[in-house]
Amino acid sequence: MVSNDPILPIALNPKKTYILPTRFGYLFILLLLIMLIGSVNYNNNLGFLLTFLLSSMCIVSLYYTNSNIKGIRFVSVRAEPVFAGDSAMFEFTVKVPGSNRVSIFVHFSDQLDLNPETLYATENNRIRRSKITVRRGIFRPGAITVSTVYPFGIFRAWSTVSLNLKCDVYPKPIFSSFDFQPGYSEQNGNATSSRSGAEDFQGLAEYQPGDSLQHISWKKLSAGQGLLTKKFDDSIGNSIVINWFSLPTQDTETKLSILCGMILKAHRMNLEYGLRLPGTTINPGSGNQHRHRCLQHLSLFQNESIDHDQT
Amino acid sequence: MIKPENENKELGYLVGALIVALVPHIPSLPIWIDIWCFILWGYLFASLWKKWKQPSRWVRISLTCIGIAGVLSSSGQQISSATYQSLLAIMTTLKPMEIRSHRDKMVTIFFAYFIIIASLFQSESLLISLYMFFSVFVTTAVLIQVNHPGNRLQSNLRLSGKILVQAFPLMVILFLLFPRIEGSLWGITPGSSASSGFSDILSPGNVSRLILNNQIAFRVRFSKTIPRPEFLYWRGIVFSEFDGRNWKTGTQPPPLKNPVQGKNAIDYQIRLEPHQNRWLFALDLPVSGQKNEIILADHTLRSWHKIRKTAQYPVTSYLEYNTGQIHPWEKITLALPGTGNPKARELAEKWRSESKNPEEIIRRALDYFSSEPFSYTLKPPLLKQHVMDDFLFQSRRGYCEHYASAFAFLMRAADIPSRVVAGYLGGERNPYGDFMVIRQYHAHAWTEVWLASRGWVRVDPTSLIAPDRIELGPAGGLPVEDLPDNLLERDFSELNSAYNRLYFFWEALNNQWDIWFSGYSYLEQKSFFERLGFNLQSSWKRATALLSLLMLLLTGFFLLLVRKLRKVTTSPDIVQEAYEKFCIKLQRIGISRDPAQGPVDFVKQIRTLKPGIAMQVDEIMKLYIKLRYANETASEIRKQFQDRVRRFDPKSRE
Repeated sequence: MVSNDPILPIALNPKKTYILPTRFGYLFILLLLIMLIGSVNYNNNLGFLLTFLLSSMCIVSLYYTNSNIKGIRFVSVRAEPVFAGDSAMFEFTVKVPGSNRVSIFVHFSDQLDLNPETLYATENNRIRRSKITVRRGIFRPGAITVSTVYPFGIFRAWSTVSLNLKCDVYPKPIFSSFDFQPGYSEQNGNATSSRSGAEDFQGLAEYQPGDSLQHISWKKLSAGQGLLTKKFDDSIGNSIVINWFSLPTQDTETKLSILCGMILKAHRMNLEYGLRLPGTTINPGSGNQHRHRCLQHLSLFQNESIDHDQT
Repeated sequence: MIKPENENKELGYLVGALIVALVPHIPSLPIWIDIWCFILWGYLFASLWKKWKQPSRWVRISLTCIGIAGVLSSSGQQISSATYQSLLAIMTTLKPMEIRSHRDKMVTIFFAYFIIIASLFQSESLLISLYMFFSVFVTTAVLIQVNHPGNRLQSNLRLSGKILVQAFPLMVILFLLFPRIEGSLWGITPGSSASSGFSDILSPGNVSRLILNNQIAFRVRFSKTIPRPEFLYWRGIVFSEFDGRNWKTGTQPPPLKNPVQGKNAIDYQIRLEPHQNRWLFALDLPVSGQKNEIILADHTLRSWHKIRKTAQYPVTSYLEYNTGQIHPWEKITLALPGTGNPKARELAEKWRSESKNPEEIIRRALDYFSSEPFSYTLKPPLLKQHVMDDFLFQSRRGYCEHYASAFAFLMRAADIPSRVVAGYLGGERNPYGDFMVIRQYHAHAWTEVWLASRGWVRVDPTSLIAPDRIELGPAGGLPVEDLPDNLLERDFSELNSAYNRLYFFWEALNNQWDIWFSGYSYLEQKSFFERLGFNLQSSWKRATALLSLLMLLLTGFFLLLVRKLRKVTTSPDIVQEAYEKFCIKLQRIGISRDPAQGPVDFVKQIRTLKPGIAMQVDEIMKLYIKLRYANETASEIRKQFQDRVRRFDPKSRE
């Protein structure tokens, strides 16, 4: 749908991997300088040896620090839609070539992460990171930073990878007093809706497991015509339309929140429901897909271009 | 997320690293600090094990105050390096009690590194050097532990060792290339050990007390063979002034002007342990000195600076020599106090009047020592007012300084210029190398007399009383009941015993280490690069050249490192790589594979979505399945697969 999706899997770019001393690194460099000056002053060769041993170990550790995050690949990303104000949870699948990686920090670039991960070379490592959302729309949490200070804690290597992360954010639901009165839908001028329901006999159909026993055509069964179910046209009778125009309030966001609450309630009650918004109508339906479609319309309402970076 | 037991384990490791780092300091710490440390470390480990609460802030503060007060009061007025060591030791016991955060842990590790380098300023011996690597190895493993909590210590030790070994070549390069300077940046505070050895006053008991001292005075490496024992007189200090009881060095003589005539030249290198004075030791009679040394008119070698750290210097000596004319300033070598020791003067006067020449007087004096019942002992009786009379006619028991000073007194009384020379006699010959170790207990004093025909001549009256002293070392000639324990233990007559062989082997190793490693300094660096063909005279030019070379090497090293790190990892799994490429190509036309989706499923999906490319996809997939799941290893199949993927272009088929 969105054309600028990065192509997964995406690996950390070694050319954009940076390394700098941590604050302990600067402290350690200071210690090394003091050691060096002391050794020069006392012309102490063993002091020189220790100073240069530690410096060399630092330089070697640069390599270890950098290779610890080198080649980390993001294989897939998944995020379930959330309601505004909730945390959007992103689940990354991460693979590493070669050997296991220890003490890896994976976090949103504008956040800090205190929990290091161990990434195993043989497995799909699943990492979950969440970030609080504020508004409805499409939530883009920004780039992901992968960093490590392993093994000495004196150098930090990091690389930022843009996965073009996004997550649908539905409006924050408001559950107002709301019950589905019969005829509620008639008021809104939806001419096709009628309360005819179970009375309208439509015909016979093959029995499907789960059909009500009351609707089995016992007559036909006794006549040896097999198990048939009487079908009634009740699709309109049980369906409702959740309608923007019927809400008394004027504020768009409040309206959307109330609509969101209605959709959730209708979904929970297993009702068939449609949605009517200015310029859009969604025919009644049910199921998770339908729910998502309706809520997505709410989240993008008058807002198609809202691709905001929420913080 | 760090479990408390892990946290406790980590604290235990930190304390362990501190202890390992502190071990070399322990011998030089006061006993009460050792006890303090053992008690508090014991408490720390017990508290970690039993999960006691750490002591409160007030307990910690009062312990710190007690510790610092104790250190200051036990060190007295003087703040020596032992004071700093004691403070470091106290801190190792208190610091672990307040470790809370990651920051505390890191600081503790850095503190451990600091303790390690502090120990290196006490000694540069081979043992300390080896131990340094061990300490760094342990401390670094704990550093890794702190940055990767929950890992097993064993694997951290392995990584620490690995990094240490990998750092080795770079360390050697840095060590050799880092420019050394002459002297020091801002002076050196004296080390902990007060000068052991000689002082500038020689009085009875000064030399004999040194026999209890096992410390190394200096080491010598001869470029050819070691001279015979009777030549091994290590000249250090000349005492020309006599005040009736003590011998003093007096005013410093001028530098030597006329070169000494001599033969039997011998070259050797001396590594002198610090003694906080300026005198240098050399075989009788030194004739060449280095830039930092002068030869004084009394034929002693003198350094410009006090020897505060181990000094290494080459010397050439003549074993046979003639110093020629006496200098006017050497009149002092005839001076005696106006009064005192009348009997000794009388004896000398008698010899003088009865002898034809000074040689005869000397012979008579020596005869006197060998014929009268003189004895060689470490425990002479106390001498009364007229020390010479008392010694020559009453007690007749003494160590070398008694004989040397009595002989010199008699010579002066007989009008022969004479003086007392102090230094060392002999040394431990190491069978594993052409070098000797001279320890404090080799200290000796002898006499020099001036003869018109031969110049200054060495006369050692002690050799008449204890002839074995020269051959057998300080233990030779002393009565057995006099021998101190340290000499009894060092019985090297049996070279075959395993202990002695080990001892000499270790000494030889130490000596090699000292020469090759500890001795590497300004001059050695200079000659090292001269041998390599870089002859830069100005030290500034050399330092700049070395630093630029160092920078160049380091930059090159970094560039290599960066290149290696920047290279995109070529995963060894070629098949997987090609398959991913294939998936990416499909993704571009809108077909994406769920990570969990198998190839067969995927093909089905593609067939329904894009029937136009189904044929091609089918072929590629068949190859992939063959390679991946049927364990096909033939390289042609793999190549074919790669080839197909490369030519696969779903966009053109749309």
